[in-house]
This record gives sequence, C-alpha cells and structure tokens, in this order.
Amino acid sequence: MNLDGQSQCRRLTVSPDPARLTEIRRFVEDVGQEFGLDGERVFDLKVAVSEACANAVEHSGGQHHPLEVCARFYDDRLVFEISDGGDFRLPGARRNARRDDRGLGLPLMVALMDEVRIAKMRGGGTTVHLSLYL
Amino acid sequence: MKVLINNTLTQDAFVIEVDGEVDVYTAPRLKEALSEGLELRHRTLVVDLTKVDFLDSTALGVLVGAQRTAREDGAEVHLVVGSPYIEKMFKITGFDTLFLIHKSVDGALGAT
Repeated sequence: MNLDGQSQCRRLTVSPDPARLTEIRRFVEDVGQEFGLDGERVFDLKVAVSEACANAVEHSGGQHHPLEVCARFYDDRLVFEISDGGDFRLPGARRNARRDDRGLGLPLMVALMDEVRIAKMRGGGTTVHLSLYL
Repeated sequence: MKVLINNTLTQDAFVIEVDGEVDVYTAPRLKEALSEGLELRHRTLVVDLTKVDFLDSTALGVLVGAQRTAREDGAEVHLVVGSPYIEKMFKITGFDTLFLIHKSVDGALGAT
C-alpha cells in the first residue's frame, strides 16, 4: 500500500556522488520556489535535503544504487523523499560521534524541518521523508 | 566554490575569502586553507563567508575543528557572515558561541 496515494512526484535521480549535491540543491530550490516558499524556508529545505543526500552517499558504501529525490506537493505541506539502496547508519557514530566533525546532519534536518521520518525499506534501502507544513 | 587567501589586507591576519557553496564535497579545500594559515602561525584567521550562499554540516565541522586547533595554539578564527540564513546555521547548532561573527572583514580586523 502506498500511503502517499495519488500525490504527484517531481523526481530527480542521480548517482550517489557528493559532486552531484549541487544539482540536487538546484532542484530543491526550483521546487521550493514553485511551491511559493520564502527564501528562508527554501534555504532550510536545501540544507535538510542536502544533509539527507550526503548521508545517503556516505552509507552507499561505494555501491552504485542511484539516489532518488522525490518532491510531493500536498494542500498543506511539501514533502521530500530521499531514497537510496543502502542501510541507514548514524553518520559519524563509528568515530565516537564527534559532533563537531560529522553527525550533525540529522540534528540539522530535525531543527529545520517540521517533520522528519526515516523508513527502512523491505528488501533494503532507506527513505528519509522531510516535511514542511504551510 | 572558490577559496582565495588574501594576504594583502594586513600582515597580522590570514584572511580566507570563500565564494559559493561549501559542502561535504568542497569543504576539504576550506580545510586546507585553514591548515595553511595555522601552520604559518598566524594568530588571527579571518574566514570571509560573505559570498557563501550555502553551508552544510561538514563545513560547520571544518570551521569548528579549525577553531579548536587555533585556540590550542593561542590563535583565533573569526568569521564574517552576511547572509541571515548562514548566520542561522551557526545559531541553531550553538556554534555562534564559539566564534566572533562580524559583518565585514574590516570589522573582524578591527576586533583583533
């Protein structure tokens, strides 16, 4: 069952490569402006989506599952879904979670978004849902 | 992203001008520039972020790491921030308490 139902998805699919993050942020900017968000919220969204994608790239482990970014428009909110083929890991946890080094991505997403949901998909892969309510 | 080391302003400070987007992909270049300033034993490093339009958690980590190293050597990293959005990144992480944040490079140099 797909809980997201009939909502249309604007999709960007890229290889899990940090060099592609700029392109992802351009996509987020276009979608956010189209949705009528102000400059600050567009910026917040760029940070949150960029962090989610950077985490996905990091835990893709050099494999080549594509990274999918899907933007869904609803009456009351805008949702970005970031899906990859890897298993979610706490970034930086391996290195004793030095918060000044890596590992700030998830707290930033939580601070900037209205809702953050991380779903481990059956058969592998992780989807991060980032929502902004109007 | 472009990183320019500008030593024409003053001999006392090591000024790093950053232009563009600083993220996990480009932050290593900022880290290199900061390391260079620290290795040259400058007591004041100024990172001018006025032309930066995006900053991620890796970039914040690089700046915080540089500040820690600098203070161990009796030096200090100063920031110049123009965008309120970039300033907000420092506020929500609490990193605004680790840096003196200035509105202009002149302001940063005047504070040293």
